[in-house]
Amino acid sequence: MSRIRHNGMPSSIAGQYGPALILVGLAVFLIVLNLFFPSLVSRIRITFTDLLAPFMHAAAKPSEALQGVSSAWESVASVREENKRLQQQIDELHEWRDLAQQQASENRSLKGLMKYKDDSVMSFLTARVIAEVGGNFNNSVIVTAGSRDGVVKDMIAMGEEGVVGRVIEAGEWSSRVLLFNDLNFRLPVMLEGTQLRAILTGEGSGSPLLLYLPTEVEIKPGTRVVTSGHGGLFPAHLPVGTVQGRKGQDVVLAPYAKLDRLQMVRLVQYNLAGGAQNPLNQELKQAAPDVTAPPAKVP
Amino acid sequence: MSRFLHTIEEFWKASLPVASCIFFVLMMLMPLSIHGPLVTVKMILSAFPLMALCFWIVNQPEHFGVGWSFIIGFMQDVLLGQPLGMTALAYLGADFFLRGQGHFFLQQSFQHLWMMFAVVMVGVSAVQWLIASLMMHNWIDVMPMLVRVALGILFFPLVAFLLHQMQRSVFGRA
Repeated sequence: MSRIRHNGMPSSIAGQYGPALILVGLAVFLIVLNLFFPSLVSRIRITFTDLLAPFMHAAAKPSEALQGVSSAWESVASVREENKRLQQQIDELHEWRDLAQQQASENRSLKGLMKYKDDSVMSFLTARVIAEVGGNFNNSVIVTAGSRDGVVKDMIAMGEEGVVGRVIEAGEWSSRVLLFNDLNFRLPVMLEGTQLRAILTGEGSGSPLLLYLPTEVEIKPGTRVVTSGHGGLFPAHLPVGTVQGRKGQDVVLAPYAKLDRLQMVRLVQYNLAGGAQNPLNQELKQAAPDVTAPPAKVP
Repeated sequence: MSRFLHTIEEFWKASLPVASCIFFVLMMLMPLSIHGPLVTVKMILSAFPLMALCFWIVNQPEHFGVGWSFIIGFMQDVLLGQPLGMTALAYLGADFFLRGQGHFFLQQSFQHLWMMFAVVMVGVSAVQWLIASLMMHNWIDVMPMLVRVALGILFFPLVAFLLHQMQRSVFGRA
């Protein structure tokens, strides 16, 4: 290939290294800022992300078109098998619907008998994924919904099948969702039918783990894992995945959500009407006073 | 009219190195919805901005000042949600190293540039890994990083070839 030319740098030491040393100092200052003022750094980061969101949206367009072509090709190629599978799924869903209707009616009558008052209010906001970050050190996505749409920090993000992550930064136009396979991800969950509680944590490239489960208890692979709603920050019973097996003292989770096929996410707006002390409630009230209004908005 | 065209040409020349780096940063973030072994594509794409940065520092240093190394690194930190300053500092280190090797690069072949890129890729990844580990108070698994480094070094000639063609068409020389 090419011959490499001499780099035309200024000859004096001050001229050569002065501006570069200032920039090194600035970079070090920013690193220190991360340690002592994380919220300020988060604000700086999301402000710049907001500014660059239109460019990311434009850059995502070709890949969206490509995905459309690819999925159309796949569906044409497997239309017969798909039809058979969907027919089977419809039959199964009819059975589930009948069961759900029966249980809903039973639930209503039991609540009536117990004079139970449900204080929680939950609604959804749909947002498009415009950037996917799968670096060495973090796993997150940037979505096209921000505080103007009612997004606040710590909202749960759902994919088609289950929980995919949590909002960690909410700008005005865009937000960053930390995915469940990130090393910093933590979510209180419980094993359905057992009432055992655990903390879901990401493992980078590996499967997520369930921490702090008692070792003496036998946990069957295939057990459903849902959000516990512990602490009142997140709604309970959102589907997360199933138990895959044990890995030492921890339990490995097989998540429902497919992170590699994430195009849209649903952000869960959750409010405990009675819990005025809940900081999330206060934030929600400021950002989106009417959380019960019909959502389904795709910015 | 010719003066106007000359201004346009100069602007195009001045902005091409930086624009190509920014393009690679945005490309790295594209939601590709790929899975299985194709995930390695993302790993390769994540090394593209550094490849472009090295290429332009060596081949067009007058059109790629040290400030741009900082800005491209800062932009990556912001968009990737990484600790601010981490990649900026690593890229500044790469910039120092490459400019300091100016005499070495003089009349050297592509193999030398490739070798220098390998050194830079290892150095930048090591700095990022160290800072990220210190920030998280936890030693991050090095294996994905090593795979990324290996893939980056392997695919450098492809990106360098594309950038070289671009350079020839815009700057009109090798």
